[in-house]
Amino acid sequence: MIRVTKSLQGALPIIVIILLWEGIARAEIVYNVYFPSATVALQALITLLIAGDLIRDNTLTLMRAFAGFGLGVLLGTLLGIASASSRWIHGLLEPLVEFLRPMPSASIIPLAILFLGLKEITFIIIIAYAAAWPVYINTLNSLRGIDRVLEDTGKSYGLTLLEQLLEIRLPSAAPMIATGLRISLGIALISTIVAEMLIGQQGLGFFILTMAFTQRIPEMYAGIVLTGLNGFIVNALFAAAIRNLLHWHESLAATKEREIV
Amino acid sequence: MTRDLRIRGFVFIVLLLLGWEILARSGLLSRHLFPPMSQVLVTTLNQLQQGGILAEMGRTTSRAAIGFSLAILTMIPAGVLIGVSARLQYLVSPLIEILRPLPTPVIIPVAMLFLGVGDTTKIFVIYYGCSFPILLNTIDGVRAVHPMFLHTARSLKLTPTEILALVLIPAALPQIASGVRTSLSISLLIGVVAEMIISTDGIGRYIIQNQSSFRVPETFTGLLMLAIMAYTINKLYLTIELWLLRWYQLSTGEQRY
Repeated sequence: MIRVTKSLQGALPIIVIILLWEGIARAEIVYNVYFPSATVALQALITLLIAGDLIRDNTLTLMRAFAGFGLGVLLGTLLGIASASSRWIHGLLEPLVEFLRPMPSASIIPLAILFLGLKEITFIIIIAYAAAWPVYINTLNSLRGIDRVLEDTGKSYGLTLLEQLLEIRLPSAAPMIATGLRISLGIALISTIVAEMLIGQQGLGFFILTMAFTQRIPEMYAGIVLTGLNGFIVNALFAAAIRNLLHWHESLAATKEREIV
Repeated sequence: MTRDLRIRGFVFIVLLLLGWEILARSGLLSRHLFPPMSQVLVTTLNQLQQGGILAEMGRTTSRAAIGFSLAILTMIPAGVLIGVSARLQYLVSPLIEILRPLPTPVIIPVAMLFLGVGDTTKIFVIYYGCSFPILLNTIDGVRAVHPMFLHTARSLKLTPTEILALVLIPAALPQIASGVRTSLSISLLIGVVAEMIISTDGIGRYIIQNQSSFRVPETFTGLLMLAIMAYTINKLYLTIELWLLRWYQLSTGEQRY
């Protein structure tokens, strides 16, 4: 019962916003060819989903985002671990990192298309490049900020370097790495949309832009709503997964205690 | 010691560039698609001499600066208000929660419909993208101010305005700054993406136009200049932030950079 009321409470804002959207569009406060009512946009969304085209585009977009995210996470964590474990590697990478990090990641899209052509791997590499940064930075910083006592305890137990990494350093850094992963996931979704807008011939980003250019406005809004839903669902699932996986960590356990009190 | 290691990093960059040069000249790859680094440098110098690229960079920077500044000027006050008033927060949080998962680039086509393809569209989209991190961090920052500070302020009989100016805002400032820092990189990213999609001018258009006509050295020139621009803007901002928050670093002993 409590659970039902709670989820209703969660849904309430969404209902309010949809009603507000509907009201503004019906009252024609904004030019309504460019701002169709919520019902028109949702109708377009349902029609497109039933027709199946949008489902195909959306699946492709999500697959690209996840593949790019996976590769980016792999790169970011490995480089982060390497950089945190060795001052030598850190010194080697740091000037390059400092120079490239501020540059908007989307600017590598033209370069990627020149060298790799219009293939799936091009999208995945673009997304991986963008997604790797937060993971790298958070892995590096969290591994470097580990409590000395923990490290020294591991050493005095005679753990090998690999054991120290797997048993002590990574678990202790896990929450901050998870934060990096969550930022990366968001960036992966955004980068996918951007890449599809610029070089895509399929996918949600391509769909939205095409609908805008061909003035099929309700369909454009349908695509935008779907993008928002993707972000919302993926984020919620990820947050739930992290909560479950890291419930043992003291920082998360502490939050739970506070919530109970 | 640290300096030694950094020098190694610069040597690494030089080696990478040399490797590029050798690889490009070796004839293993198409010279047209993969020009040697020296040719890129010559092109860059030529383009700089002609000055066109600097004007494009100026347009990108000024649009980003306007959108970014507008976001700071409107979203910090809005965030403080929302953070202080529970009722206001109840009213706006649904709107924030719904718009937040929406990737900013999907706003570009919508903005284009209403505002056309001029500067207004790009500035609006930059403003929109920059708004969220600043707003959310300001709300959080204000709400996280320790109650003891507020009790102290009240028992010192400070007026609400004084509490706001002397207690709430300074205490929330470090977190506000972290939102502003995120927004700075968003302003450049969205600015460049918008220029690539709505190709009228700016460094984003410069890069994409040269790429689509296969002028590879010019494409690299654009990327190089963009990287230098972003690096400089970022460094400049961090210097300003460090100066504005020097009291915070002093009080916490926290050292960054």
